[in-house]
Amino acid sequence: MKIIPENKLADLINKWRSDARHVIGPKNVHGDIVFETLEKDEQPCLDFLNTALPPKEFLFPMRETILNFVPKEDEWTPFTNLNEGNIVLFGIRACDVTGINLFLDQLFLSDPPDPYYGARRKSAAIVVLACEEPDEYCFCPSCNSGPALATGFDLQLIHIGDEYLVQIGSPAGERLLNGLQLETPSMDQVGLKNYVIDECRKKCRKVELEGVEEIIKDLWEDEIWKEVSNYCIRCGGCNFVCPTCYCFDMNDRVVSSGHSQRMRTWDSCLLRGFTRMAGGVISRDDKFTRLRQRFYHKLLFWKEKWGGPHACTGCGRCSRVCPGFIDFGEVVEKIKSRAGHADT
Amino acid sequence: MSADNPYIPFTAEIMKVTDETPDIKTFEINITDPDWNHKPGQFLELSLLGAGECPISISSAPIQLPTLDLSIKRAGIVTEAVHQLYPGEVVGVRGPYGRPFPMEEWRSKNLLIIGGGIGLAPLRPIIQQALCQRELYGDLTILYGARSPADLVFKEELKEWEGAPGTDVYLTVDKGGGEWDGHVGFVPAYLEELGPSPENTVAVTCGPPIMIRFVLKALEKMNFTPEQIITTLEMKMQCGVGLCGRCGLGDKYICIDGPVFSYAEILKLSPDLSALK
Repeated sequence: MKIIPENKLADLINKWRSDARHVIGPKNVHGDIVFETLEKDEQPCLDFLNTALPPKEFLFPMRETILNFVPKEDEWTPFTNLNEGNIVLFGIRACDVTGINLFLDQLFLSDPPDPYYGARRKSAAIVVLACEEPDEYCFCPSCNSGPALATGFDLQLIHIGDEYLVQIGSPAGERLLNGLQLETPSMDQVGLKNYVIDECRKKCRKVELEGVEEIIKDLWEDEIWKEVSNYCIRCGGCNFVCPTCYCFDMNDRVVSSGHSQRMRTWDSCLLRGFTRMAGGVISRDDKFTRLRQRFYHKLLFWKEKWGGPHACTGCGRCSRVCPGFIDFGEVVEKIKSRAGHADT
Repeated sequence: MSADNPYIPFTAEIMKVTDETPDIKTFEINITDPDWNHKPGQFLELSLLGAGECPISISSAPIQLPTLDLSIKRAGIVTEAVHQLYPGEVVGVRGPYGRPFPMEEWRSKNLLIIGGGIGLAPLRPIIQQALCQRELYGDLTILYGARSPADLVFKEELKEWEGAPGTDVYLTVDKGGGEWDGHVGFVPAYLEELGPSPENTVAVTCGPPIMIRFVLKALEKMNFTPEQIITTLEMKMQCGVGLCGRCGLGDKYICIDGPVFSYAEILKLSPDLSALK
């Protein structure tokens, strides 16, 4: 562990930039906190609860070209252009790092590995900024994904007074600190770190997910899905802000005569077209079947397929953005209240 | 297929185009990859420059390699574009994907093939392979139906199959007319009428979801066990490699865990398939 004074953080970021790393961090853009490239001399915004979107777009962009088709004589040759610059994802919250480590990595790095995600992931250093304060939707402690992480980062910063305590989680993290003269924290400072994290943890909402997979199994035909979906305006917002959602669509785009691109874009299981097939058949045409799919996937299907935790990191974003005020925690409570009362 | 990028198609030349019905054509394409090896029941991803990509079941048996057949119904953007192509033109393919029919397990068993419309396409490789290795399988019964006589696919081949040893072919159409003097009626009803024995038999079916549903019911009524009934769910797939999330059925993906499933497996699968249960 190391200590870095608040006023030295800029040196650290400048050093990364001079090492030809592309630094991405939280910025205040017209009042919204979003991850963006920190351009020369630009410093991150460090006073925020969480960013509007998780930083997954830097590993799995909202829209990217995965293939280019360019005619060559009378044939065509596909080629790809993998972005392999080194990036530092600075100031990510623990919940969002969990989304990357336990969910996106699991999907995109398993067989067959996704080369686009893989290339970006390999070149990305992760610097966590632990939370000091939750809002009313945060429940990361219930998902074991925050306010700070035990492992799974290159560096983790915890704000204690006028300084940051820096935990080094990997050799790559070690290299991020190369050449900087940093003090080792005192016992008091380590104690203060634990206090900061504990205080934040205590303030978080509790959403008990354990065992919910057993209850939801019997609720396929339950009225709960129609009730909840009455408030859904099928905007897909919950999917787009989710650090564990990964579904995508692929489409071709004609750039010029003979040159076209295959694009990949984020997609949402709440949108009606998600299961539209050639010929126009939509297998999840009723809105409630799509909302049901989302909750079943998060709480049961993912776990059945991959093992491990439920596909939720407790970031609270889906509840925060839902125009119909559908709250993930409340739906979980509704599910649990149906234990033993299943209609089927 | 590129070893490190599962999305890259390779090119394949169209050798022959056969008009099957007013909206179905069979494209024979040349596969230049010497390592390509598919099994009955598998599919590939077909790419068309600028139009996109879609999953298409391979409708010929591996013995036909280095060419294979794709019987394609005009139904969406890519299939519409494919229908405009002529021999000599090039398409992109990647695959083969998916779990094939377990034909090794069917040795010495009678095969009952039940198809509807374009649903005969993924079943055709089974028939071709069984006829090619005739001694390995028992009786071959083919029950096939379409909306009208004009909508029957593989018309020439159906006649050949009728004459093949140990093979019975039963055709039906929802609506007769013209020179049609054969059976008229829906496939599930004709199936019940024919009443095949479940004894040492495997039933394999593919067709419109509504037909599959009633065929499953009819087979159960005739005492076929769920393990004896096999179907192939050619739906919702996009990336073909288990990533895009579109063809999810519970914890399974049709593209990698299927598209071939036994009815016993379907009963245990996601409740999302309740339409088939």
